[in-house]
Amino acid sequence: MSARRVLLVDDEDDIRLVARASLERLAGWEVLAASSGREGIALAKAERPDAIVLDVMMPGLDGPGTLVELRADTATADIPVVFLTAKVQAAERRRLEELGAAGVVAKPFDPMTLAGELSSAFGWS
Amino acid sequence: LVVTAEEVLRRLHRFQVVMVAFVLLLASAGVVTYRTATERAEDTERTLVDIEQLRGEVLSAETSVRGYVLTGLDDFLAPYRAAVPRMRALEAEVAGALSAADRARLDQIESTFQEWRSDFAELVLADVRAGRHEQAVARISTGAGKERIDAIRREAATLTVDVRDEDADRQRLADALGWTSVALTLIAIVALVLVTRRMRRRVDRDVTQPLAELRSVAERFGSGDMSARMYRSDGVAEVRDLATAFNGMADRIQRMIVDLRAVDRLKSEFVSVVSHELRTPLTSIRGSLGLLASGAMGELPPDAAEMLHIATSNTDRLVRLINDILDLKRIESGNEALEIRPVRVGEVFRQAASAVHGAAATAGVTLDVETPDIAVDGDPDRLVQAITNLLGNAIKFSDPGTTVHLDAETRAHQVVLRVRDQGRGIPPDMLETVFERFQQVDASDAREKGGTGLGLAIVRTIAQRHGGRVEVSSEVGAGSCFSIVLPASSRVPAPAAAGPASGSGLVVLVEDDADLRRVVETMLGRRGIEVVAAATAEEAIRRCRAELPDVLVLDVRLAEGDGYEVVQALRQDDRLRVLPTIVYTVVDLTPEQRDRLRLGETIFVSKGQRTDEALEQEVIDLLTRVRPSG
Repeated sequence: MSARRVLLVDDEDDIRLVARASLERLAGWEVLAASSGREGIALAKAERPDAIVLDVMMPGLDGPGTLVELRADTATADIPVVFLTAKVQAAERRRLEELGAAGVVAKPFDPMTLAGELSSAFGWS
Repeated sequence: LVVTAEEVLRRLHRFQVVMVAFVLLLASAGVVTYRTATERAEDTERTLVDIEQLRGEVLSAETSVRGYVLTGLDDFLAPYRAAVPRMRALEAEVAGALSAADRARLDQIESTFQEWRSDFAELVLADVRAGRHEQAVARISTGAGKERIDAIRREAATLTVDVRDEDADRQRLADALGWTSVALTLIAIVALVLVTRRMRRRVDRDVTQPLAELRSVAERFGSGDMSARMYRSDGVAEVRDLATAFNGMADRIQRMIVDLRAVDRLKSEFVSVVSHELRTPLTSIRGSLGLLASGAMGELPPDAAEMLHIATSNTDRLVRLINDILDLKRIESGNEALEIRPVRVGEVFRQAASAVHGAAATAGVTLDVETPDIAVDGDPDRLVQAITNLLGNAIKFSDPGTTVHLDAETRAHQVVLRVRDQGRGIPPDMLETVFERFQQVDASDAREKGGTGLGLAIVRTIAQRHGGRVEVSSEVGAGSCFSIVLPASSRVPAPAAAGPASGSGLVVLVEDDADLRRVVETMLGRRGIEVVAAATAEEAIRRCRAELPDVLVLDVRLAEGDGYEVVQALRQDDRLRVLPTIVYTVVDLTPEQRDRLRLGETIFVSKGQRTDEALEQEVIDLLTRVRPSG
């Protein structure tokens, strides 16, 4: 099985680094990183990753906005998206899932289990 | 012109006093007039009788003189002699009641009578006494005596008529006075009615109507229309003052509400900002530390690994603390509405138990979870959170080898959810404050146990927002019992929908009743669960050793041997010592008996209270928990 290719979109450099390290070193995935919604959309179109991990609160185009644009473009409409959010209220979680997210992972995440959480959200065994 | 209600009332009062005085005056005038008229009428009657008597005396005197002349008998002269004093007495009596003109007539009668006496009667009597009979008769025949007597008669008749006329005049005057009083009284009454009606209209216009409008304005304001104000400017001064005061109050309340909403918005924003701004750096810290500790960045020296462990666990503590603070704020503020619906307590217990499953295993603490078939009205997520907090707490303060019990019971209209531990207990003086924030029995607990000091405060807030309360009892050294008391649900919950609809795995079913065995076997089989059945203790032990099932379903009473025997044997086997077990029995078990039936996670289900479907759900849930990969 070839390595999973995941696009990680988060405006925080440190979080991108940690998540990338966790997914690459512990799960052996290939990680593409973008620091804004716009950059993420461009990268998603160009690279067609297997899945996208999207931060909710970002300056400019935020996570939900990015998801809406991804869904609107046939090239990226089918790529599953999981949100990464610091807001963990049930209502917020439901709102994100209603937007079409495959799942929601709470920040701070545990780097040891991040790959597992994402896998089960994406439906990867 | 500002008119006050007080002024209006004062005027009304003044008017009333004047009218009452007026009516009283009229009434007394009427009474006086009537009484005077009555007295006068009596006086007049007496006067008329006296005048008649006077006339009678004159006639008697004349007759008496005539009789003496005819007979010469002295006896006949008695009336004549008595006439003068009698007339004097009568005249004295009558004179006071007469007018001046009538008194003159009376005097005329008197003087005419005296003339008659001196110029006629005495002369006639002297003639008779002297035997001059013819001379006496001749004197009578001249008619001079008769003339005077007739004059007296005329005067008396005129006097009578005069007195009657005067009396009639007085009577007419009295009548006129009486009717005048009646008319004036009627006028007074009509005036009173008219003025009262005018006053009433005025009170209605200037007091009642503005007050009614002010009331409706206040009601609109009270029901949320912040712009409601009293705009009418008529009415008495008091009502206008009240309206001004109300408008001022409404303005202030409106400003306060605007301010409060702003504060509320700021608070929500603050919570959101804290939530994001604190978690973002923590995410990097926690992630970096986790990666380092995992060895993904290379092997670390033991000292460094220990330092890293301290940093990691304290980061976790900080994360928990932030989560708990935000949770508490959110639940307390009511910003997050509870999603109240009928909830099965058993389902809440199952979810909470599975959340602390790992912690219990790490602490070497056994969880004894009952899953009663009771429903409450609640937000399932919040109830699970509350029970999870209580279970986590109980596990934290339990020694390895002890048990934490989770059960529920129904009291009158209430459901009590109970978490009992066999830990060190809580001193009596701390019992009242354990639910307060940052109150821990031992100051070192926060460090050693990793608690935030907010868990129980969250439990209490959740209970209160469900219309319930929390209770705690404890015995130092013997353990504590925390209860959440909730109102019982009046509705029937939807069939247990949570949890997977089907499961997979291997179950050993130990049941000596062949029918029941077949029912459960079929039911579980339909859900894709493989069932190996056993009817006796010996068979059960053999099957378990051979199959190494995922879950054991065990009846206590068996045809041969019993459940205790099975558990005792399986405890000897390392592979089966922690086998998840459902004890399914009609027997009411004591805590000691339960302890003797425990293997791994052990759930006790009473046959009497539960349906077979409930058992099925328990098996599926337990399988889901022990085989997370599904």
